[in-house]
Order: sequence, then C-alpha cells, then structure tokens
Amino acid sequence: MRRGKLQGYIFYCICLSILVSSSAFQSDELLIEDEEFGLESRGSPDLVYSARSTPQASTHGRKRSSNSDSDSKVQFLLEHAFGDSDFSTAGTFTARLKTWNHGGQTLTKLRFSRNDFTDVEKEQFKELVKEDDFYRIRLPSNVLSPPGRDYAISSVKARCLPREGLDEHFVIHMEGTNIVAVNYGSPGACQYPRQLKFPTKWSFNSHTVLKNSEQAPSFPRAPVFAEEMLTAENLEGEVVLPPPERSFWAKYWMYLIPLGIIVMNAITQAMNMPPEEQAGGQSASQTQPQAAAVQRGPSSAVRRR
Amino acid sequence: MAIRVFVLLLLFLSSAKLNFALYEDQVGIMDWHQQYIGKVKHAVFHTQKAGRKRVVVSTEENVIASLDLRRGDIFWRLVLGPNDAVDEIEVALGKYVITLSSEGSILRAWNLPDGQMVWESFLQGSSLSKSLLSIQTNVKVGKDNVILVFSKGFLRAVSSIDGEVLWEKDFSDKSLEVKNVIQPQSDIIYVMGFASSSQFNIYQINPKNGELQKHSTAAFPGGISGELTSISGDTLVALDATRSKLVSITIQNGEINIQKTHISDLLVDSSGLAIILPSKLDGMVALKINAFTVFVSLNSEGKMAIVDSFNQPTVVSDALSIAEGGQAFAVVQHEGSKIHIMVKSGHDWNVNLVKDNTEMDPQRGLIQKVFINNYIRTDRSHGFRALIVMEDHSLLLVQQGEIVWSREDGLASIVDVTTSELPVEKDGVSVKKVEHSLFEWLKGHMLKLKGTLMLASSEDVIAIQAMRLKSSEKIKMTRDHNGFRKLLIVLTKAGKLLALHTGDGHVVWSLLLTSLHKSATCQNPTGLNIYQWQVPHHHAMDENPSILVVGRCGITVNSSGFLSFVDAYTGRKINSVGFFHSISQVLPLPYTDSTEQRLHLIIDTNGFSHLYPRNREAIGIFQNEFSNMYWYSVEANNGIIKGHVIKGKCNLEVEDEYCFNSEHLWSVLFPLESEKIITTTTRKLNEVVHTQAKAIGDHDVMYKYISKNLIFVATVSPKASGDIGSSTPEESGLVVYLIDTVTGRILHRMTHPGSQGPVHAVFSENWVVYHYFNLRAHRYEMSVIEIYDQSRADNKDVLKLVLGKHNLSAPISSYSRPEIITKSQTYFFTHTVKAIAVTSTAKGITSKQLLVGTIGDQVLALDKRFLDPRRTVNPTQSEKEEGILPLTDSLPIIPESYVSHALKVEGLKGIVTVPAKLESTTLVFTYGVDLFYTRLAPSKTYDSLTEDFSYALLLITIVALIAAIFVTWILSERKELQEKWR
Repeated sequence: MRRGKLQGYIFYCICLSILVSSSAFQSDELLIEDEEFGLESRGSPDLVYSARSTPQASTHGRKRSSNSDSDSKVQFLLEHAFGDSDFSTAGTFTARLKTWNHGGQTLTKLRFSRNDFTDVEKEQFKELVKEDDFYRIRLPSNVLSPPGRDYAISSVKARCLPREGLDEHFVIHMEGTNIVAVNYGSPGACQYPRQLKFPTKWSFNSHTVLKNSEQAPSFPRAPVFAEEMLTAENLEGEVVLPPPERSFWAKYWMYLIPLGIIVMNAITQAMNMPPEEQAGGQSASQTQPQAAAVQRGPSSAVRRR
Repeated sequence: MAIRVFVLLLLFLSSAKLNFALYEDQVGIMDWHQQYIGKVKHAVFHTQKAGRKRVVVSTEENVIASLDLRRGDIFWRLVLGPNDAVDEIEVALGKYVITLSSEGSILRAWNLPDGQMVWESFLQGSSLSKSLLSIQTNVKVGKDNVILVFSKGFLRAVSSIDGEVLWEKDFSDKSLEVKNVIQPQSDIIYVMGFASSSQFNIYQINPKNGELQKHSTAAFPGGISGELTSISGDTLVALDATRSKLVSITIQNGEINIQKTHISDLLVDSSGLAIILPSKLDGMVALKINAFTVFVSLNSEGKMAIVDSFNQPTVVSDALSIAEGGQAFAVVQHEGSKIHIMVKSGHDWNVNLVKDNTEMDPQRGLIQKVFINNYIRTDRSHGFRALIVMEDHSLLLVQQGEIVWSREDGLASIVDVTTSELPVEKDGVSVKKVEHSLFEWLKGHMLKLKGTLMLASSEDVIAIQAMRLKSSEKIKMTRDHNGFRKLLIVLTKAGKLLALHTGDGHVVWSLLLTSLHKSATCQNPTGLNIYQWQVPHHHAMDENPSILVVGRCGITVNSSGFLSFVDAYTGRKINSVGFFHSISQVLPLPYTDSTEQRLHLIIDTNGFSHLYPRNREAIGIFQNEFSNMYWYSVEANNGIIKGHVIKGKCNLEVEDEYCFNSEHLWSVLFPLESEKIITTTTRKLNEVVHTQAKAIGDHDVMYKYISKNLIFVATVSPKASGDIGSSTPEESGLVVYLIDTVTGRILHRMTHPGSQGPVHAVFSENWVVYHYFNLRAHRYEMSVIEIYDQSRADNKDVLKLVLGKHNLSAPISSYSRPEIITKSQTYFFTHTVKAIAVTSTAKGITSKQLLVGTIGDQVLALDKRFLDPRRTVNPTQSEKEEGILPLTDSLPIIPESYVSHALKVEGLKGIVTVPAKLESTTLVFTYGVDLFYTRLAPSKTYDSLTEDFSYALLLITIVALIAAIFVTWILSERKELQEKWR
C-alpha cells in the first residue's frame, strides 16, 4: 500500500502539471457582449445597444409615430413600478418595422431612451433599496397595438441595479410583432447577500437586446443518412451498426494491466531497496523519497540504520 | 492506491458495454407484473357448454376481458385505445362477443374462447345519439341472426356472421331524439323518441327489411327527463321533466296510451328528486328518491303501486330469465359492514329465491353494480351467483353468501405514486419468519452448488428456479441493506390508497379515502396527488413515516379541497383537514420541522398560499425563508406563465396566520395566434446531482448549469395541436423554452419548424430530452438540450483555486445574468412514445438511462449517451476515449434493452423511478392497466455481487484451499525430514 501511495502521488503531480499547462493562458477579455453576439446573430441585424440614454421628457404619451414612412417606425413605452405602486412611463423604445417577403414582420434597429428618475421616483427607489424590494417594469405584448393582450412584466430586486449609476439590461424576446417576454436585470452578477448601496449618479446605463427565436439545428448529416439507408437496404431492412473500431488500449487492456502491475511492482521494489545495496543510483533517488519518508514512518528508518 | 485505481478502471470498462439483457431464468426474480382490467361497466355471463364457466366484461379502462368464474383469472383480455370506449357488450350465437364502441361507431365481434377478432364494421353517421345494441335470437334474415344497433341516428340490422349491414333506417334528420328501441314481438320493432321535446313518436319497423310500417304520435308537453325504461313487452316508464311524476306509456296495436302518476301519491315523503335506476326489471321499476330505493310495480291497466322500499344504499341487478319462463333479479343492500343479497322472483315480490348475508371489507366502500347469473344446484334447484363491483372498483364474485374471489381492479387506474421505506429490523418489530431451518438452508445451498457445478438434474433446476422466485427474503416487511424493499404507495382514481410491497407486489394495506370525506357538502371527493409528508430521518426515528393525500370535493378546480395524513406502515388515517380553500398547486418545500414533517405550501385558485403543517414552528421556519419563496403558475388556455413571490399575510375577513399573499413578479405571454402551451416539465424535486463538473476528453472541464428553478415549456401552433396529419408542415411549428421560474428569464428558446406534438419531455440535471413529430421528415424525433454554466468556466486555474480566488462557493443568485451556453442535437426515433422517465440513483453517480414507454406498451431503456449533443460524425481520439459515440441519424433500439422484456404493461400511463440505497441500482415502477416493477442497474451492479452469487461455493473453495495448504505443508515437512535423514 505504501508503494501505491507513492505512485499515486506521482500520478497526481503529473495530472496537476497537465492541468496547469492546459489552462495557463487566461484571456482577460470581457466576453459578455461577444457571447450575446454568438447566441444572437444569425445574420440578422437585430441588435442595437444604446450605450447611454439621454433624458427625454417630451416623449410622454406619444405611442405611435407616423405611419407615412415607408419603413415604418414603431414606438412603445416602457413603464415601471416601485413596489406596490402603479405603473408609470419610464422610457421609450423606438424600432424600425421590417416587413419580409413572406409577410412576416420583425423589428430592427431598436433604440431606447430612458427617462431619468424624478425626485419622487428617486425617493421611491431608495425606499425599495432599503427594503430589498422589487423594481418592476412592463412592456406591451404587442408593439403595433399596445398594450395587446396583456403586459409582459419583469421584476428585479432593486439592490441589483445600483453600481456607479444605475445599470440595467433588457432582453426582449419577440415573436413577429409580439413581445413574448422581457427579461430585466443587472448586466452582470448580482451578489447574494445583496448589499445596501445607493447609486452615486442617478443616470441610467441601459443595454438592450432584441431576440427572435432561433431555429433548432437542422440535420447537418444528410449524406451520412443516405449512405446508411443504402447499407440498410443491402441488409434487407436490417439496420446493423458497424462494430466500432477499437483502440489498442481497448483491445489489449487485459494484457496491459497485469503487465503494468508487474512493472510497477518491479520499480517500487527497486526503489525500496536499502541504500547500501543501491550504491550507484543514490543521487537520483534521494530527492524523491524525502517527501514520502514522513508517511513511511519508523519501519523505513529502521531499515536505513 | 494504484490497485484501487485499476479496479475502478476495470469496473468502468466493464460497465462501458451499452446494453444489458436478462437471461430467461432471471425473469421474475427482481420484477413482477400484475394484470388488471379496471372498473367493470357491463358483464355478460356465458355458461353454455358448461365446461368453461366464463364471464365477459367491459370496463371503464376500455378493456374487454373474459374472466374465469371459478377463480377470477383472466382468460383473455383486449385493451382498446383510449378514445374507443365500450358502449355495449353482448354475446351472439353463443360464440361471439359483440361490442359497440366509440359512441356507437364501431361494432366488433370477438371469438368467445380466445378473444380473436372475427369481424369489425364501421357504422357511419353524423348526429350524436345514444347507442343501443340488442341481439335478436328470434329474428332471422335467411339463416342469420340479426344484431340491432341504434347509433349515430341510424337503426341498423347487422348480420352476426360477417358484420354486414343488412338494412338501415335513418332517424337523424327528423329532429328526433330517440330514447329507446324495443321489440315486444318477433315481427315488430318500435323506435321511440321525442321530437322537439313535446311530441312522442313511435315508429313501427319491420325487422326483416327495415320498412316503416306505422308511425304514430302523441302530444306530451314538457317531455321527459332521463331515460325511457322498458318494463314489459309494451309498457315503458319515465319521469316527466319536473321529476315529480311517473309516466307510463303503453303501446297497444300502435296506439299510444300515456298515464301520469304523482310520486307524492305513491310515497308520503317524496321531497327529493327521483331518479329511475337503470336496471331492466319485469313489470316493475326501481326509483331512487333521497336515500330511499323504491320499487314500483305496474299492473296491466297501468296502475302503479309501491311494492317495497329500502332506506339503506341499495343496488339492483337486471332481470335474468330463468327456466320455466320466470325471471329473477338481485337486490343488494348495504348495512354496516355487511351486505344482504336477495334474489327475488320477478312474479312475486315476497318470494326470495336466495337470501344471503356476506361480510364485506369496509375499505371496499359501497356497492356500485351487481350482475347475477344462475346455475343448477346439486338438488336441481336454482342457485345464483352475483358479480359485484364496489366503490373502490374492485370486482367480487359472491356465491352462497361467500366471496369466492375478488380482484383489486382499482389498481388499473393509478393516479399518483410515491414510496415509503419499510421499518428497520429490530427486536420489537414483528418480522415474518424467514429461514425455516438450518437443514432447509443447507439444502438450498447444496442445490445451488449443484447448479453451479452443472450437476443438477432437471428437477433440481426447477427446484432452484422456484427457490429463487419465492425467496422469502424479498417479501420481508423490513428494510434491507440495499434499499430494494420498499412500499409503493399508490392512489387510484376511485380514491383508494394502497401500499404495494416491491418484493412481489402484494397489497400490504389499503384505505378508501373518499368514503371518509363523503358528506353532504362533499358529494364526490376525488384524490389528486400524494406526497411524502413525514420521512423519519434523524430526529424522529421512532415515528412512522406518513403520506399526505390531497383531494378535491368536486371535479372543478374551484371546489374545496381536503387533506388526509396516512400512516405509511399501517395504513391508518392519522388526521384529516377538510373543506377549506380550493387547491390549484401543492408545493413541497425543502424544509422540515423538528418532527421531520415536510412543509407544504398549497396555492388556491385565488392566488393565496396556505402553509401546512399548521404549527408555530412551521411558521417560524417559513418566515426565515420568506423573501426567497417564489412560485409560478401556468395558464395553458390563456398562454401565460406567471411568476409570483410570497409577500405578507392574507387580508381576509377571517384572520389566518397560515395564509400568505403573493405578488405578481413576471409574466411570459405566448402569442395566442401562433403558440399554444402543450407541455411543461420541471426537474424532479428530490433529484441528486453528484457533481457539477463534467470532465471532457481534452482534459477540460465543463460546468453543468444546475438550477432547480427551471421549467421546460413546449408550445405548438394552434393549428397543429390536433392529431398528427391534421395540419401541413407549413402551418405547424414547435417552440421550446427554458424559463427560470424565479425571474422569468428565458434562458433558451428554439423553434422546430414543421413539427408538432404531442410532446413528451423529461428534465434532469442540466438536460432536457423531448419527443415530438416532425411532419417534414414524417418521423418522430427526439431532441436534447444541455445547458452549461460559463461563469464557472474560469475555475480551471489551479493557482486560483489554491489562492481561494474562485467563485465555486459563492451563493448563486437568480438575479445575476446567467452566462450559459446551450448545446442541442436531434435524432430520429422509431417509436410513438406514451411516457418518458429517467433513472435516478441515490447519489447520482451512476450514468443515466432514459426509460421510454412505447406505443407497444413496453418500456425501453435508452442510454443517455445516445442523446449527447457533443456527438459528432467522426469523433476525435480524445472524444472517443471520453466515450462519445459517433453520431447517427436515428437512435438505436436494441431489443435486449427492453426493460419489460417479454411483458406488456397494457395501457401504459406513467413510469416512476425511485433510487435504491445501492448506488448502482434504481427501482422502476410502470403503471397503466397493468403494473410492472423491476430493478435496473444502468451501469451494471458494479458495487455489489449478484444475487445468485454462491457463498457456499466460495466457502467450500476456501476450506478446500486451506485443507490443501495443510496437506501440502505436511507433505513438504515430511519430505524435508526425509531429505535431512538421508
């Protein structure tokens, strides 16, 4: 068993070194945005970030813009509520409605202008942060005829938003001109337990993402399928999986394992030989057993004497 | 250490073989199979050719079965499809069973001895009407006996030899509601019905050719309510629309004569509404008013008189013609724990042909139906046997006042399943005597040894097999080391709770719950679900585990609910709470109080949540976790999923500190015009995940995104929500969602264009597998989605791990934006699927198998490795080492991997998996009309020896070796001595 421990230790060291070497390079690139693109863009220009919103007070109450434009513009309102309060306007989304050849309509070029909190709202928000309560937003379920069937509601603990300013992140899931859901929250992590922290600046830093549903990966392997059909037909409808090509290890492991055991035994025996008999190889083996000597305990000490 | 590593490696390699199979002699050792038929609706006795006494029954589970009258065994059994309900059943020509099913549209004839189908005919028709079937023995067209069928607005005469329609008469276009078809004489058929509910019509039909001979009408304002019951050749009885008058209609030579009698004239106390019992009696009608059952006779002038009345729950059978032209019927009365069976003569009420008292198990409830059959006694008098259907759907045969056999047919309609551990074996607990004697034990081992050494004769082999099957070890009533022995607690549709032993499936105890809750305020209690209420663990080891049964008083969601707490060892009711708020959801919480009672939150239809158990301690525990209580509701018809958080107490008029209000947090609105929710699936609450990390081939690690708050939702376009083939690929589409139920965040959303439901899905660990139909490919497909957490991906740096700069121990918040990647892949699958489940083991180490209930009512085990989105057509060397299989278009179906081997679980409805204590093993219980139970080891039993491991052989080998050592030692000593003396 002692020998086994030593071997295990060596094995562990090797494993560790492999692990370290494989993950030695670590990019410090922030991958959040990239990941969004990766998930999102399948050649569709759905994605618009409006980095910092400008305060806009005049858009209140305006719901739809002129239809006269050929590429019609659509506006819909973001509404928010503090705790149990009623919903009130908080910002405006503007997008371009694109009509496809097959009749479907999708939104592109989404822009967002966020209204800054009024003083009353600031107080309400502070209250929410104090109580660790929910800040709630909603969007109409249909952008052409708001509010549509109902509102898509989303909530977040108010303590998740404050950083420097107020960081927020919208993901709007669309199905044609219908909003299926809006996911609202902080752009990054929200530590738990949530810290009581008020924003230093009352300006919003908004990120918005528009998502349409993606298609399931289709079968990329049609030729293989046809091939398989052919072989299956040859065998009169009997689908027989060809026996998988086995690796050398899989084939001969039953011989290799006993061989390995024998070799290892031989090695450890050679290593455990008393130093008197091992005159030549002393310098090589001296460094190794030092660590193991502690575990070996008194018996090895006796042998050394 | 190294050796241990090698052993582990060895085990891994040996488990790498994908399929496993059962040898023929292993069948029945760890599995059992029980066949049921369901609640009997109709029964037809067949006693001709006296050798085989049989009864043919049809049931509410759409089963037609032929049962042995002596023992209750099934001779043959046919399970019709779920939409093919049997309306009527008859025996024709003495050799065919005729069934009318699917609301009178399919008429089939089955061969009586073996249940083979003889012919089948489809009876078309558009209008809905009642379905009637009668076999005419006295009407012959040619040499043929005629079957008269009224269904879908047509009267048809069908040949009983080949099922051909001889003639048909259309009654569908005359705004006529046909009530009854009778044949008083062999040359007349009367079709009776109401036109616009006030005109009574009689059509006289010639049975030879279906010609209309006469049509007469009579005005009858108001119409009748309920059925028109024929009581003799030309007299019928019905109740008028107000249900206060009894109407008798007599037909004489086509003339209609209607008489009305007030029920109050007959009976003094007749305040309630009357119902005519559907029994066909001769010259008599049975009425049910309030709790009374009243028999009213009619004389030839249409005069009515009360014959008798019973105030106990009473059931009446149909009249049976016995020899000498007489008729008899049975009246069965319930009184306390006894039932009185009286067989009355049709002519004289005061003559009791049989009068018996039988003791009845109160757990069977009240009698629902009775069918009688006569036989000739040894003294040549008439004897009667009664087939009784009870409230718990069990079927009994009573003869000479004794229960000859009984069948627990409630088990054919299981609603919910849970499990319970058996008591720990100790001195106080009574244990069945297990080993008979040392001699028996030795004998058994000698036999086994013989078997192993191939010395056993054929009788010995049979004895060994019998010994293995009837091992008393497996039906012990105590806990075993491996956790194979458990109690399966099932709730049936009849509201009965039964505990089945996993060893052989026998019923340990049963409890009829609905009878406990039945009262004036709760007319038809139904059981909904069962939960483990108390699982004694650390603190409360001495207490028995208990089960929570949640039920509802009516069929609608708004009706008030009830809870029962039942001891899992004895089946006694501990407590019950009844008739309070409605029940729409029951959420078992991950907290228990000091007596190990699990906290449950019950959400009512008003959105209030109610906490159980109702004690101070539970409130205390709950209040600590108050702000982290989220729940969601799925409104499938509105296409909305809503999220809620618990907030504050209810503000009701009545103060209730166990009632909590919730706040609406999020909503996901599926556009009604394009998506309709058809399936939602979540992870099992008690699922154990061994590790979050998954080492992949190139020494990299992927982290599974494991969240208990995920829901899988599948929606289809409304046009495609019908049957397969009812929509084109262009207009159908399937969308799947993975939604976080705390924040309402859509983690993944994917469309499968040209696909449609039904969708069957299973969610486990970080993956979902779902099954649907691809209209473009004309095939079923199975897809897998796996979710991986990217936020933990940087934890691979060992230095960081050492310095503690990792986020592995940081609490996860749903409000953080998840950094996940999903992988997905799709495969073809041959079978239509009825249910999917996944194996679950105690620690979650063993690899998983999917259990697929196929359309052929079998259970197929499919390795999860076949559904791995990382499969590629040509896996690299490192991927091969990891065990990734090359990608194929369709999932292989290996015949050996049918868990249910040669058996069928007819009418398969669900598969339940329960972990055993032994990590490698999982217990699988499949239910439908049949029950099937087995043990599975998805990676083989790597942690234990097989059951038939011969310890005796091992012992003998050791003894022999020791002996050999001694012998050789002595020999060598001797030799040494000799050499020294040389």
